[in-house]
Amino acid sequence: MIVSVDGSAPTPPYEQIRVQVRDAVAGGALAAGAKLPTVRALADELGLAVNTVARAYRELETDGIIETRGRAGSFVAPQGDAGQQQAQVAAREFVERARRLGLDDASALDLVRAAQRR
Amino acid sequence: MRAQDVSEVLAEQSIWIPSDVFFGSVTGALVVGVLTFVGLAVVDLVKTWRDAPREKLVNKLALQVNMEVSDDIREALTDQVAMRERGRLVGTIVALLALLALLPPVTTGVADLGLAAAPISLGLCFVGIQLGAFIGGALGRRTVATNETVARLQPLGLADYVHPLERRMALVAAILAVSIPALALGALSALGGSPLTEVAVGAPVLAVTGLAVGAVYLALPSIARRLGARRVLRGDTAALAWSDALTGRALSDLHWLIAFWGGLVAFVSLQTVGLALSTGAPDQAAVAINVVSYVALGIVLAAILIVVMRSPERHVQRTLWPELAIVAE
Repeated sequence: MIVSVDGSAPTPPYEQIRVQVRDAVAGGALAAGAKLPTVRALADELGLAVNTVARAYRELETDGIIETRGRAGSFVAPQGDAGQQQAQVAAREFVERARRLGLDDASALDLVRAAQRR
Repeated sequence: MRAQDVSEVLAEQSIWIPSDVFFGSVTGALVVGVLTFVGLAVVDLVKTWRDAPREKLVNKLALQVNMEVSDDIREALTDQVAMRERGRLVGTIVALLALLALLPPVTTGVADLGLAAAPISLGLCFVGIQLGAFIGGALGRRTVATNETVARLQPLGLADYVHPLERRMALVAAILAVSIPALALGALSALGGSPLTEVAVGAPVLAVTGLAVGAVYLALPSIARRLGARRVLRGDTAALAWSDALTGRALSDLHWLIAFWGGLVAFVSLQTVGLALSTGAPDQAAVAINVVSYVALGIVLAAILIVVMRSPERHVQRTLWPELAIVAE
């Protein structure tokens, strides 16, 4: 997932970041639990002031799209109702465990389909 | 003519060269060779400030990784690549001069570390070269002046940057580098040590060197995360693509370093076992060492051929940036 900021656009940079992250989460490009770069690192890469990125993160947190877990950093928050949120967390945990076990993504998906057929 | 007669005739016709003269000549030739390489590296270093060689470096790299260079980023990329090349060349010069310092005095001609001297010396050269390239690359971080700037929200992993074959090659080398010296040490202990100084001193040093190779291999995912986070070209999408390519290249170099260094440690350790087992039977020792040499050389050449034929240097372009290909595959 790549975020871009157009310095010549009339929309302020923090708003451009906020909208792109929001759309990525809504579209599934950023899954619940995904870790976001630190404010400083993202600001450095985008050539923006730290405050600009911090404002975008703050607004995303207010909207419930991301959550900050102290020094661990910022993560995409589970979206939707309680059931959807739990399903997203379970999916994330399954993917992490499958990768730890050395399974590629296609094999992991096959296992999910097989489980659904039961 | 009987074999004994032949050897007598040869003995009469041969010229006796004192060992200090022979080893002194070998060491002297090595010094001249190393100094020649240092001189060539200095010439190449000076060239990195001239426009034409810098352009050539970038064009060569673009063809190697199969990625277009847009006009917007060409200048920044040229600077970055030149800095990386300078780092590599300075690393080469420092490593070669350090190698000269490690050489034994011309009169004695015997390396103190015996069998371990080869992997340590060559490893030192490769580490110097790669470390220099890393430092040069890190110092060469550039920002491209574009209206649009892009950043990746989720970091890439080692698998995104490095071809699977290169990763497997480094894994095998790291396993061999850790296990074979350990086996050699075990064999030596079982034999109650070796009367050969080279074996007795070299085996523990090889074991430590092997562990160092294993440690570098285990640190690769962490190194990949750190390198990925420190983008070398900041700017638009093209700058991000080239940052990925350069990071991939640096990590690929590290994999080759592990493969080479690990393979060398494993190979010399096998020789140590051969020497230790054949003490008192020089013919057997020679046969053991030669068999190991030819088998290892064959395996290494086959492995290099298989890996190189898959063009691993284009992995980043194929998997992350297929739209920037110069040549469609």
